[in-house]
Amino acid sequence: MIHELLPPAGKTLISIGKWRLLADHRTLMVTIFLLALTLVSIVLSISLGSAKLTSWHVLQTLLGQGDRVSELTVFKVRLPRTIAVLVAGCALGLSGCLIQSLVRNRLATPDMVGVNEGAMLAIIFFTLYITLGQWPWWAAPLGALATAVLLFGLCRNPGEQGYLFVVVGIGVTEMLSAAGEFLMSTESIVHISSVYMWSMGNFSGQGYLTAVPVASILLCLLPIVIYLSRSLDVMRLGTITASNLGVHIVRVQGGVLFIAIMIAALGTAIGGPIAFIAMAAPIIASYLVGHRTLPLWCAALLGAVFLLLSDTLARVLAQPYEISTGVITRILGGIFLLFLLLNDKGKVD
Amino acid sequence: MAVLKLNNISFSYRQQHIFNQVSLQFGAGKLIGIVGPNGCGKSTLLKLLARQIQPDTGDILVKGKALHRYSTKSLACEIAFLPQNPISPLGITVEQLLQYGRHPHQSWFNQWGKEDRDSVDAATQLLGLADYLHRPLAELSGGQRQRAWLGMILAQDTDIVLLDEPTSALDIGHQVEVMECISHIASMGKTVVLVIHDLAAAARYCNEVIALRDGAIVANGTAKSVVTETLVAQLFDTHVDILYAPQDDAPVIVPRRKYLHSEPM
Repeated sequence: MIHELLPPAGKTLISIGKWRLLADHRTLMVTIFLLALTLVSIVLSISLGSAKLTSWHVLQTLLGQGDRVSELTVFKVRLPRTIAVLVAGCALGLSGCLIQSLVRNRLATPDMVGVNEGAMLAIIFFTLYITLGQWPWWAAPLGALATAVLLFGLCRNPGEQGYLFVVVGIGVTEMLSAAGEFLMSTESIVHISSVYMWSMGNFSGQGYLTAVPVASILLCLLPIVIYLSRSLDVMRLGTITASNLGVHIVRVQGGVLFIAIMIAALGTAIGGPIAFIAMAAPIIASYLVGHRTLPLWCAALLGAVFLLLSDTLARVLAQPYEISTGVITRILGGIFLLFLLLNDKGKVD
Repeated sequence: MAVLKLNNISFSYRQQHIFNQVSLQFGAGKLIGIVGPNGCGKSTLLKLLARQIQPDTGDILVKGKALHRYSTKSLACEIAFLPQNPISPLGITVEQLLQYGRHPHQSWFNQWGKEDRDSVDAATQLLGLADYLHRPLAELSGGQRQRAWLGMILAQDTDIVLLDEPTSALDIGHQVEVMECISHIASMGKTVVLVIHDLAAAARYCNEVIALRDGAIVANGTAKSVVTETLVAQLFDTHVDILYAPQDDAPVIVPRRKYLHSEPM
């Protein structure tokens, strides 16, 4: 007698040939919901701006049914920037989720420990002294990796739940962003205005030139993230239990950290050091999936949604002027961080 | 036959010798208790066996093969280790925990199979987890949670099980419950090495007791032969009387007061 193989509660067994994969219902539902939300945010981001388009108009144009003017607005102006924001948002959300779960601390995100500022400093240095005007997006991973090495040199190990990491990281963040500002202050403001705007987190003028190579590298890193995600999920039980369950801790930690830093740096290369997306997106994603799984993909999508909406707000709020997107995320993210810390106070006291 | 063997193991931590040339053997299918005062090295011994730490010199053999020659995954199929205070993350249910126990037997492309289902079901039944299988681990009482962790260890389906003070944070009822579970796991033919504070429980449940002090083996043998008044004095610098339980003649340790006639403060 053949019994049908019963999967664990709340999961679906997917059999493809010899493969047997498990999918969590709730995580799947949330992912689909967030995918839809991302599409809505994309359409909103393209419709809203100084020249008004209706969402219906945008959809028509995207499907090749628009007039010349709306085609120009959508394909030449809005869509490139929207794609740049989308890629940066995904990168920030994903890298935040990777590092948070690795260090087991919600405050340990690339923007809090100075990785993004390291990427920023490298880009400022290269654009001012070496590439002279050409956008050196590829310098971002170098700066971010150098920062990570510095951080590990100072900390030796992340400490219990990464608190040492976070505290030292806050100091490193300040140092690096001061160094970036120092470099920029040695040049006349006319020459560096675009770099300066970028360093505040700004997507104006960003398009396919940076977003396409960054997105391609991210896609190449994706299979490694997918491979490591299973081990990283077991590491939610702590390193001792995970190693008892056959996870090669050093290998997984090294791999995840390297990839998370690369992804964060590439995200930063597009729109500058955007704060708080990498922290808020994974926390809310984890809440949405009921903490049942490691919400890597949900965090990436939510990062994209948050950044798309922030960028749209930045363009719309003070028309015809534009606020830096980084300023919007800092305002919204600051409120979220305060809420988080005050909420945690009860547990810490 | 010995499934676990330590040959001349030395280990030091922060320039302090914890073990110096220690040799030990653990017989197959036995429940072995490791006892001794705080800081005697009993947890360190368990961590060495679980490969959480590496010895400075000497070697450890698991089923005749050197411990360091196992891959992480193949070792996880031979030895299951439950640390003293495992982390119970938010949102994980008992069933998910049991599922995690199957991790060393699975791969990315084979995340669930018949053996996994059978092992999880067997662990659920043996440890009586059916009533709260779908409840989050973080919501359970200490005793229930410890049983769930033992369930994960059981689902891991290894021949060797290492437990670090599994009863230390529990009240007396849950202590008995968890010890009965452990004794049942050992009766399935597994080799269980248990670090335990409670001498009486060690004497009652274990086939063999190893007593450590300052990293040296003070006594090693059957529970009855090891747990004596002289040994307790030797281990803990305390004089005790040993009585025998009416139910099963297991030794019960009753410490003597130092100043019997002094007034309580």
